[in-house]
Amino acid sequence: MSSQDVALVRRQAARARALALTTVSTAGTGHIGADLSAMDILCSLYFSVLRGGPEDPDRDRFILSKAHASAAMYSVLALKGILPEAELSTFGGADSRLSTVVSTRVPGIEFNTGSLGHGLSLGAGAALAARVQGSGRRTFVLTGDGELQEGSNWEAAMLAASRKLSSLVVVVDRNLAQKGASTEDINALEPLEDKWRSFGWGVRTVDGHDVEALLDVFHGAPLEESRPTCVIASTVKGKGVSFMERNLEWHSRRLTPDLLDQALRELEHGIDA
Amino acid sequence: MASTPDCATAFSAALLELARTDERICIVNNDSAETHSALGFQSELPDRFVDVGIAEQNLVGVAIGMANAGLRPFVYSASCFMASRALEQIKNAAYTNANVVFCGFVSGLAYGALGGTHHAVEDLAWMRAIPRMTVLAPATPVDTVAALREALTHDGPVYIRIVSKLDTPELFPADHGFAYGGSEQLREGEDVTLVGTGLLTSRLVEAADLLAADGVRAGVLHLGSVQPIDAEAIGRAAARTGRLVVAEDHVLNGGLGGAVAETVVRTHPVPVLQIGVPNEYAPIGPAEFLYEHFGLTPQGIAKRVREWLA
Repeated sequence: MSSQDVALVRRQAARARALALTTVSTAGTGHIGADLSAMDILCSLYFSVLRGGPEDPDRDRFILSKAHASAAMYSVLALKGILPEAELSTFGGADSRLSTVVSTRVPGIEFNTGSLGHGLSLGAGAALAARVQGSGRRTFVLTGDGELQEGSNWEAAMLAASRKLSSLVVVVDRNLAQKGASTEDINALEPLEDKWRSFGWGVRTVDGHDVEALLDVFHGAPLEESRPTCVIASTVKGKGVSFMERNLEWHSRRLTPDLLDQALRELEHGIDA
Repeated sequence: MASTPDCATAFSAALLELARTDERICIVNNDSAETHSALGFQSELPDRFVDVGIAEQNLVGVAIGMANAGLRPFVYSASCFMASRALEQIKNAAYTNANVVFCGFVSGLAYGALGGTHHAVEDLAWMRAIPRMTVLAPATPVDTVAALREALTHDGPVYIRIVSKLDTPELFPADHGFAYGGSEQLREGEDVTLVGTGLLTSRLVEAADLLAADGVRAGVLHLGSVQPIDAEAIGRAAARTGRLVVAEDHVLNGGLGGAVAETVVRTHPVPVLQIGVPNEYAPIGPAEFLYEHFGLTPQGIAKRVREWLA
C-alpha cells in the first residue's frame, strides 16, 4: 500500500458517492444510506486490493452480499471502466441491466445476491475452488450487519474456519442499522467480534471510512495464519452527506433534486482534492 | 427381470470414474457420503470432496461459489433436505445460471418409516417451478448414469431425482443415451398410455404386462426429462390412446401428473388419471408398504387402470 493508493481511493470514493447519489436521485429508487456506508470499503477494494479484471479467470473474487448497495457497486464499476457511466441513468428502469439489487446481468458481478445472508456461503465456495485449482487468489465478501441475523452465515463461518480458508475475507459493513432501526434493538449482534473469534476467525474492527486502515487490513490479511479474516468496518449510514449521516430515514428515502445539489456540493471538495 | 445394483450406487460409481479424468468434478455433501455411496470418491479424490456438515443452505451456496470458478460441483444430499431447506439458494443458482448438479438422493417414499420429514414427494413441483432448472428423473441404473452424463454437458443447473434404497429392473441397454427434453416409448399400446418417471417407470412396464393379460393394450411412456418435458410425445400418446395415466411417487399437485396435464390441456386435451400421493401425509411403515398403500405397485396401478377404463 502506498500513500498514492490512499489518495486515489479517497478521490474515487468521493466521485463514486456523487455518481451513486445522482443515480438514485434520477431513478427515484435505491438504498442510498447503504450505498454511502459501504463506499469507502468498495473503493478500497476496487482501487487498491482486488487483482484481475472480470475476464481474468484467476481474478480475486468479490461478492456483494449486501446487494442493495447496488448504486454504489455500479458507480464503482463505472469508474473502473467495466460499466459505461451513461448506463447509470437507467438504474431500475424498464429493460435496464441495472436491477436495484445487483445481478450477473452486469459485467463484473459474480453472483445474483440480494436475498440477504447468501454471500458468505458463496465466498466459502469460491475460496474452496481457488484451493482446488491451486490458485493463490483471494475472496472478499462484503456483508451488511443486519443480514448476519441469517443463520446460513454461521454455517459458512463454521466451515470456512474448519477448512482454514485463510484466503477468505469477510467485511461487515457495521452501520448498526437495518431499515429504520438499530440491529441491537431488533435482534442484537453484539458482541460481534467475540462471535467471529469464537467461530475460529481472525478479527479486527476498523473505522470503515478510514481508507488507510482499510487498506492496511485488506492488504495484510490473513490476520492470523490458517484462519479466515473478518473485518468489522464501523460505518455511518449515509456517510459523506451531512443531512443523511446517522439518519435512519435515509435507508431508502427519495432524494429530491434540491437535496441532490446540496449533497453534491458537499462532495466537491473530496473530488477536487 | 433381474435385479441390478441400485441407481444411487451406479450414479456414484460413474461419477467417480468421470472425475478421474475430469478435474472439474467435485462433490459437495452434507454429512452423507456413506448413504449416497460417495465414500470411494471421498477417499480417492479428497481434495475435490467437500463435506459441509449438516448445513444445507451452506451446502448449496458453497457449490454455487465453486461453480463460479469453472468447477462442476455435484451437490449430494437426500432430496428431502436439499430441495426444501435450500430451495431459495437453489432458485438463485438458477437465476445465476450456475453449473451445479443437484443430486436428490433417497427420493420419493424410500425413507419409509422415518416418516413425513424424510419423504421427498414435493421436489418435482418445487424444482420445475424454477425457470432455467432442468429436472431429470431417471428410471434405472443405466438411465441414471446416462442422466449424469447429460447433466455434465449441460449449461445451467440440473436437478436429478435419484432412486435410492429401492431396486429397479434394468430397462435399457448399456449404451443408452439420455434424451434432454425427450422421452422413451417403452411399450406401444392402443387403449391407454401409462406415463411415468423415476422409480415408477419400471412399475408401469410391469403394470402394462398385467393389463395385457386382461386384454388391455397399454402403452408406456417414460418421461425421464421432466423439465423440459417432451410435449410432442405426450401429445402423440394422447392422440393415439385417448387416455393417459400418470403414476409418480410424488404429491398430485404440481408433479409429473401436473406437468402432463398442463401439456395436454395446451396440445390435445384428454382425460388424465393421476396416481400418486394425495394431499396427505403417509402412514408409518417400510417403503414398500407405503408404495402399496398409495397404489404405486404394478398390481396397484393395474387395478386402478382397470377400474378407470371399466
